[in-house]
Amino acid sequence: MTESSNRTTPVRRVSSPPAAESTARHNITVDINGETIEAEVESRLLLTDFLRDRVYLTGTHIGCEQGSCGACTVLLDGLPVRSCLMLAPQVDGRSVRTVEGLAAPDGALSPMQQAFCDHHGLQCGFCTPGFLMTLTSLAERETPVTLNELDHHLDSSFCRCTGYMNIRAAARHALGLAHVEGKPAQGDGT
Amino acid sequence: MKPSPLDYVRATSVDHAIELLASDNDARLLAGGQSLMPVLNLRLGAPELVVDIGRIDELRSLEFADGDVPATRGVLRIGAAMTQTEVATHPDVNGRWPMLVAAIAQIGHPQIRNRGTVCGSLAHNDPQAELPAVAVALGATMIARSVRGERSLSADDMFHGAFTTALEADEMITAVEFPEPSPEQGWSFREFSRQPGDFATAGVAAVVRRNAGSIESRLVVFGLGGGPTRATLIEEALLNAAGPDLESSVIEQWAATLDPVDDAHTSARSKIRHAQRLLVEAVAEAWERM
Amino acid sequence: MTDHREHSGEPEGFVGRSMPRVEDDRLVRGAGRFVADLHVADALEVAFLRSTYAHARIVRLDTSAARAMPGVVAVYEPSDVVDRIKPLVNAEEMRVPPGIAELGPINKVQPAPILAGDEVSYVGQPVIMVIAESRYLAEDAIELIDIDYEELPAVVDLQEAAAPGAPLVLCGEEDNIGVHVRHGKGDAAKAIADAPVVVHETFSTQRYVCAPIETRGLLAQKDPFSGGLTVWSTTQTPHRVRDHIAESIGLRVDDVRVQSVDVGGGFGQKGILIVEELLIPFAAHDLVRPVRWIADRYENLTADAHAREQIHHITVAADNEGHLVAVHDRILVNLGARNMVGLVVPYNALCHLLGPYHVDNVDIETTGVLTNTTFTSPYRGAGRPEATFAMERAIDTVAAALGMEPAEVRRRNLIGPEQMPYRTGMLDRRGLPQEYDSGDYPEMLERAVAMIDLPAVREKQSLPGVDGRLIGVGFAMYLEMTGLGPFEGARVDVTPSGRVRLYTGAPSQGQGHRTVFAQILADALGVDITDVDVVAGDTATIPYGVGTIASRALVTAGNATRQAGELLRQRILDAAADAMESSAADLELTGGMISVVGSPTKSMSLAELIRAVPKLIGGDGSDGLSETSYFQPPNYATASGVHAVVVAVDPETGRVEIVDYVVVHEAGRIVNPMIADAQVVGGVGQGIGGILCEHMVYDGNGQPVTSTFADYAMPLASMVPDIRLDEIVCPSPTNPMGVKGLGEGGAVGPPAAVANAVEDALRRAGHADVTIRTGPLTPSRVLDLVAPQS
Repeated sequence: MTESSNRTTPVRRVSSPPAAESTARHNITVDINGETIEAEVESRLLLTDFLRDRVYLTGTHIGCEQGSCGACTVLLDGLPVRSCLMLAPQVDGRSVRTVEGLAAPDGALSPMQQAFCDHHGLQCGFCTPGFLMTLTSLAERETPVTLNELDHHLDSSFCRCTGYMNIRAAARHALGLAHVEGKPAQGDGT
Repeated sequence: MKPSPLDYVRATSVDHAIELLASDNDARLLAGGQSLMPVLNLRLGAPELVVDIGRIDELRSLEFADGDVPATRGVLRIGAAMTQTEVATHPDVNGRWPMLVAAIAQIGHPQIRNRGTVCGSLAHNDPQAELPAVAVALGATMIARSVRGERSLSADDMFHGAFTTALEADEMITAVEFPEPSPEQGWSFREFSRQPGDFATAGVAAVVRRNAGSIESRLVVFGLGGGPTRATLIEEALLNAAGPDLESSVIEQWAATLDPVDDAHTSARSKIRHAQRLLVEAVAEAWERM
Repeated sequence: MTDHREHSGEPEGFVGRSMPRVEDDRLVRGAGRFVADLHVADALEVAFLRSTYAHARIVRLDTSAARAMPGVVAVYEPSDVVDRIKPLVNAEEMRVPPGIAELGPINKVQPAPILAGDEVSYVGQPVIMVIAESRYLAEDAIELIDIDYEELPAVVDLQEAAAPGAPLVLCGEEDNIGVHVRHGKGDAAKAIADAPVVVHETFSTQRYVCAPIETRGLLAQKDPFSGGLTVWSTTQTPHRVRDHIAESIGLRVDDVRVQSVDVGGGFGQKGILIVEELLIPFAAHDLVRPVRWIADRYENLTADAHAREQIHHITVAADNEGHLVAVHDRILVNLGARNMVGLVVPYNALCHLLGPYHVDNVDIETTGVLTNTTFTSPYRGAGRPEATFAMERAIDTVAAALGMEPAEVRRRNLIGPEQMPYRTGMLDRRGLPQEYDSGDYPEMLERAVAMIDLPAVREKQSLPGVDGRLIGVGFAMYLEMTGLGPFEGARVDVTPSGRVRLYTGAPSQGQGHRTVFAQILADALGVDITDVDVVAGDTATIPYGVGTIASRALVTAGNATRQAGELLRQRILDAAADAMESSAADLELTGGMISVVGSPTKSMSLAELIRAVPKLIGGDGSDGLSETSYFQPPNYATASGVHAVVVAVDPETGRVEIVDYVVVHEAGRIVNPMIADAQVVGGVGQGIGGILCEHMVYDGNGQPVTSTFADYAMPLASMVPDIRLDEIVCPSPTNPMGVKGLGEGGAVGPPAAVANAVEDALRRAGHADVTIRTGPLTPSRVLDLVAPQS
C-alpha cells in the first residue's frame, strides 16, 4: 500500500466543503490507495461522498446509504467496511483502499478482478466494486477460505443483474475453491 | 439521504467524552456507528453533536481477569471501542466464551461486524439484536461512566423495552464484563432470520447448569418486540427436570405470554412458533452441553 | 452451465461465440462512469419535498425559510412550474393501436402534474424541488418548508379500489378505473358450462420494485454555444426522454441531447419517464447552471415506479383427459395513483396468458385500477410473470383435480412445432392477429422433465425424508413476444483512424451491447471485433431511437446494425475500388483489410481508405464512409421457456430452499452464449426474489412500509442456486438474423414454478388443502400455510 521509500510520497490536497456548510470542519490526512490525501471536510460528510466527490474516486458506489446493499464497501486498514456508514473525519490517519486501488501499478488486473471478467461476473457493474472489495479481503488473507465463508461473504452484497451465479463462480476460481466439493449457498439440499 | 447538520468531535479520552456528553443535551456517541449511521443518514435522528469514542485508547482493550487457580472463573472485559470482529476472532474468547462468539457470528455481515462494537450494541438495545440477550444469559455487567461517576449495571437491570436501557443520557458504557461460564454450564444460541445477515425474527440465548440438585437456567428470548426477555415459566419448569424435554402444556403456557405484533414480513403467529421451536432446541442443545 | 447446448460446429465469425465483454475492464477498475460519477464544475444538487400523505389537499405552503437558507439556489413550488412545464404523459406507452381500439377499451389519459399543486395522490409524490450547492444542503432546506395538508379519503387495496363506491383516488375522476379491455375467442361460458373439469381460483402477484442497485438519476447542463441542453441520464429510452424534455419545456428536439452513460440496471423502472426527468433539465435551463439529481434508495423504493401487483380470478375448464377447453380470467392490475403506461402491462398479461397452450374458448377481461399508491411501470416481463403465475398455477390445479402429473397436462395442451407459425386467434399488443413465429414447446418440456429427473423426484418424495424437509417439484412454461417495434436504428461510420463506430438508440443497462453489437457489426463488415466501438444511447449520434425495453434491443438494434454493416461494407468496397483502381466485385474486406481476391498483397487498410476517400477523383461527393439503417420488425419474435424446480421446504421454519433449478429456453439464434445464459440466469434470480422474499408493502393508510433496503427484502446469493440451462434454437423468420429477445424471459417463470413446487411439497406431505395463491413465500407465509390457525 505505501509507496517505496526511494520515492517521495505525494500529498494531494482535495477540495473543501461548500461555503454554506455550517458544521464543524476537520483537517484530515488519509492514505487512499497508497496516496496521501489531505482535506478539509465537514463533520457530516459521509466517507462515501468524500471518496466520490472530493477525491473523485467514483468507483465506490452508493446503493442505499444504510449499510444494506454493499455497493460502497471499501477496505479500512485492510478490512471491508461500509463506507456509507462512516463519517469522513473518522478516517483521519487511517488507510482506505477502494476498487481503484486493486489493479497492480502496471495496470494488470488483480486476480479477483480478472476472475470477474473471465466468468462474466458482472453485468451492469454497479455492485461490482463492493463485491470486489469484500472478496479481495478474503483473497489477500493468509488463512485459507472455506466455501461456507465465501458464501457468507457473498451474502453481504446485493446484485440485481447476475443472479449471483457467475459472481460465485468468479470468486471460487480466484480463491482456489473452484474444485472444492460442495453445493453453493444454503447447504446440502436434500 | 444525508445526515442533518452535526458537529463531529473525536474524543481523546473517556473524560473528554463524558464531558461532551454532559455539556450538550443533544450529543450522541459514535462507536462503530453501524446502528447510529443509518439513523443519521435517514434523518430519523439529528443530534447536534456526535462524539466519536471509537479511537479512545483506554477503550481499545480486551482484558482477561483470571483467577490464580485455573478453575477460578475469569472475566472478559471488553472495552467500548472493541469491534465485534476483534472480540470474536480473539482465540481466548473463542475458547472460553463460545456463546458470545456464536452470537456475534449472527450479527449482520462481516463488514458490519468489522465496525460494530459489542458495547454499542448493548447500549442501543435493538429488540432484534443478539448481544443484549447474550449479556442477560451470561450475567454480564456493564460499566457506565458519566461526569457524576462510575457505576456498574447488571444485565438484568440494564435492558428495558426496545431501544431503552438504564443508561442516563449523559452516561456511556466504557466496558462490559462477561463472567466466564463455568465448565459444567451448558449453553445454546439459536436464532432465526429471514435472510442471512438480517436481524433476528426470533432468537434464544440459553444457559443451563446443575446446582445443588436442581437445574438453574437463564433462557433469554429476543426479537419479539421488547428487550431481551427471560422465559421464567420455562426456567421454573426446568428446576427439577430430569431432562431437557419440556411438556408441551408448559410451552403453550409460556407462549401465551408472548405478545409480538405482525410486521411486513412475519406474522405474530409465526414469530411465536419460531420462538417456541428455538427455545425447545436451545434447551435441548444446552442440556446436551451441560 | 449449459448441459445440452446444441453445438452446430464452431461459428465462422464472431456471432455465436462467447466473446468476453469489452465493458468489463473499465467496470472492474471502478472506472465506469455512471451518472452520479460525472463531475461538472458548479453542479447543483436537488432534493424534493414529497407528499407524506396517500391522498390529501395541500392547504398551505411556505418556502420562505428554505429560500433564505445559505447554499440554496432555487426553490420551485408547483405554481413556479405549472405554466412552464407541460404535465407528463408517457405518450408512446399510452398509445392504443387501431386493432385494440376496436375492442372498445378504456385507457384514460391522466397527465402527471409536474409538481403536485393542489392534490397529492400517493406518498412520495413530488411537491417542491429545492436546488442547492449540495444534496446535504438541499435536504436541510426541505426541512425548513412548512406545508399543511388536509387529508382526503384514500384507497390502497386493489379490490377495494375497484369496487363501486370506493373513495376516488384522483379527485375529479368518475371512478378508479384507468384501463379496461376485454378480449377473447370462442364461447368460454358455454365451454365452461359443458366441461367435466372446471377449476376456479384466485392467483395474485404481490407488488414489488425493480430496484436496480443504481437508482434513477440525471445531470443536465445548458450548452453555452447552442443554448440547448445536454442531459446525462440513467434512462433506458434516451430518445424518448429527449423528445419529452424538448416538448415539455419548449425546446427544439435538436437542442436537447440525452446521453445514457453507464447505467446500473434498469429492468423497466428506467424505461418510463417520471416528472423528475423533466424537472431537472428544466432547472438547468432556467438557472443556467448544471443540475444533478440522483434518487436515494428511499426515493427509489417509494417514489419511483412499482410493479407486478395483479389479481387473477381465473377459471380453467378441461376435459377428462386434461385437454384445456376454456380459459376465463378477470384480471385486476394495480396502476398506482395514475394511469402512466396504459395498456402495456394489462394487455401484455392478457395476450400472454395462454402461453404455449392451445385453447379454443377464451374470455379475458383486464382492468387497470387506480389506488393511492406509487404509480407502476413494466418490470422485466411486464405482465407476463403475473399472467404466467395465474395460468401455470391453474394448470397445476387442473392436474390435481384430474390426479394427473402436472407436466403431462402441460404436454397434452402444447402447440406443436408443426403448427408454426401459429395464429392464436387473438390480437397481439399491436392490435394485429397474434402469431407465434417459431418454437418447439414439446421438445423444451421433454428436456426439462429429463433434466430435473421427474421420476427420481417422485421416487424421493415417496420415501421418508432425511432431514424432515419436504420435497416438491414444479414447472412453469411461458412465452414472450419479443422484439417490440416500431423500429431501432444503427449508424455505422469508419472513423478517421480506420476504426468502425456504431451508434444506436438502444443503450445497455448491463446487457453487454458494446460486445454483442460489436460481434454483429464485425461479422457484417469483415473487421476484427477489436476495431469496433459501440456508442449506444446518445441522441446526438443518431436522430431517432426507441430504447432498451421489452426484450427488443437485439432484435431491432441488432438487425439494424447488421443491415447498416452490410450497406457500409458495400460502400467501402465501392470506394476502395476507386482508390485501388479495381472493381468492387474483385475486392474483399476481411480483418479490416481490403484486398483483391486472389492477390492478397494488393491491399489497403480501412485507415488508408478513409483518408483517401475525400480526395478520390470522381467520388460521389460524400466525404466519409457511413451508413444508417433502421430495422422495423414485421412481427414479434416469440421466445419461450420451461422452468423446472425442486424445492425443499422446512415445515418447522417455513424456509424454502431451491435445491435444483433448470431452465430450457428458446430464443432463436444466440449471438453471445455467455451473455445470453447470464441474462436468463439474472432473470431467474429476480424471479426467485419475487416469489420468495420481495414485497413492497403499504399499510392501510397508504404509508409505504418497506421503504428501505432494511425492510424491502432483496434476494441474496444464498437464495439463488446455480441454475442449470439448456437451450433449443428455432431461428426467428421475422428478422434476417433469426434472433429473438431474451432479456426478460428468465424472470417470467420462477414465481409460478417455485409456487407449484412448494405446493407440491406441502400437498404430498399431507397438507392436502394447501393452495398457494400469492407470493412471496416467506418463511412466515409458509409456516402459516402448514400450521393453520387453530
